[in-house]
Amino acid sequence: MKNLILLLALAVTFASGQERSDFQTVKAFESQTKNVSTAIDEVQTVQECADVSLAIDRIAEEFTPNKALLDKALYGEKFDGRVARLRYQLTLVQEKLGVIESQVVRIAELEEQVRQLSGEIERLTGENQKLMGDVDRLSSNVKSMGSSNASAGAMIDSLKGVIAKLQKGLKDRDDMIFALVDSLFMQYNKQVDQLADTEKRGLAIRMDRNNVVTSIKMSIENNLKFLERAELKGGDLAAILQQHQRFSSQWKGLGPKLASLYLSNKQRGKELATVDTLLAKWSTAAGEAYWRGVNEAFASRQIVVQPIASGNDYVSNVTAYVNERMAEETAADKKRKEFESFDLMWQSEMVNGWLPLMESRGDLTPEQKKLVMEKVEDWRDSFAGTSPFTYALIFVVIVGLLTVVYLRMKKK
Amino acid sequence: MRSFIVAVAVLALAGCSTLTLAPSDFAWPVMSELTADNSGTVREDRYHLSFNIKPLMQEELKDSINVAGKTVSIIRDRQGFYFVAGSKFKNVYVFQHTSDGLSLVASFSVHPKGLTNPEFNQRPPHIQLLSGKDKPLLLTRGGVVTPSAQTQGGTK
Repeated sequence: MKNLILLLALAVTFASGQERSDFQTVKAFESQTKNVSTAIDEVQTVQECADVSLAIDRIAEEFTPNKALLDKALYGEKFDGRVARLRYQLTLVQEKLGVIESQVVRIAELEEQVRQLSGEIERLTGENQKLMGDVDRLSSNVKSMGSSNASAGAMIDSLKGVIAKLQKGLKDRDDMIFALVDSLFMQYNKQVDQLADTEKRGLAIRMDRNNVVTSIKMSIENNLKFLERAELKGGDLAAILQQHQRFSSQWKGLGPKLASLYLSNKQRGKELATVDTLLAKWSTAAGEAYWRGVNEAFASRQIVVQPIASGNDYVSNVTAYVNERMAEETAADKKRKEFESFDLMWQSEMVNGWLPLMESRGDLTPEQKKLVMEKVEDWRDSFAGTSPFTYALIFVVIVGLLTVVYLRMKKK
Repeated sequence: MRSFIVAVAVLALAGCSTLTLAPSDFAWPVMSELTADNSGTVREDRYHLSFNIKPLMQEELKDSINVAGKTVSIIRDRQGFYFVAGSKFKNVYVFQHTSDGLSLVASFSVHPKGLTNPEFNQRPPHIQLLSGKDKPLLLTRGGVVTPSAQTQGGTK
């Protein structure tokens, strides 16, 4: 088992840019094939067979570019011969254990999927970190330039673009982590409590090797950071809240499985509890950001609506604001300008962003939404004079009435 | 008659000395790392080679006492010359084998402060020397190949 753990921990041996000597290449090949050979003697389960099979594939893949060198350098054996010998050794052990080759292949495929996902997650982690830095930089640039500056518009556009990219990156990373976990569980095709102890240990090793718990923690932390930093609009927040809901429900399914898997590992147990805490923090932060965003939409246009922290607040405070504006005795021209500024924000931010979101979250009932929209329409109507259409309508009604009266008189 | 015998002898000797089996290649595909035993002897089992490195350590590190456990890197080039170096060596040594042992052909400076875990690669017609994070050097038995000589096709 010890050798198997070592084998599972096999990483790309030479990641640095430093030139590798032929001697080191040969030494690495010798040592890795020796480790695999020892591990083959220790395998007991189909998953372990799949692990070893994958390790052989990786060795073959990593060292094929050095085939010519290894053919010359290996004493009494060639590169292909060494790889074939390992495969044969594994086949013999599989036969002895009664393991079916197709099972090994299926698990190896899933494990390969896990490896690819793990690589993608790592790549996205780096990309997201970079994007997070870009958001910070652009946000502070936008703030320092002020909204009056002509180039601030372009800067805001590029900030929006980076925020959208980051948001997508975070979502993709979250999705990949759960896909990776699925691929790991699928290799066992059993409920966690039905797994034998050796299988549990193997699965835990796989989870650890792919940093599942750490990755989940990092996901939540990054989402939290994103919420704290980014200047988010209604649409962005809708997606974040949706993502939070998805993440929470996926974690609801996964958390107990991991808890059962790491029952005897206190350290991991603590980390799982941290995930729960972080998730709750994310939920609170998302809620806060949500109401902060609503208030910010008004404040950014100097529309003085009392602070809103609930759907009821929204209805009463917006209604109060509109009533106040309508009742205010001031020049008609000034009043109209005030309404136009409000209406611009209302249409772009509320009607097309926050109102549908609040309704979908259940913060606002359809009746409340209708009520507040009607209130704004009342305000709009207060500026409207009698339109030609109204005159036409009155004319048609009068003509109609006269016609009816005329016809009745004629009958008499 | 006397001149005839001399002529035949000359021809015969000349014939013997020009019997060359070519092309030949004595190159090792990879270098070996050899560790000295208590007597200062290193052994390369694959090539059935052994020699004592005490004189080399005395020459390079001025210490022929604490040799046990010391490691040297060695590779043989196509012509059959052995390139030898070790950690903290400032020079690379080139040997050829004779009936008495390995005989020094050349030694040349490669690092003013001493090499770090030197390793050789076979890069015909050269031998490549790697040392820590330093830029790799190309060597011949004549010395280090300068970049201009490399672009011209190497040293002769």
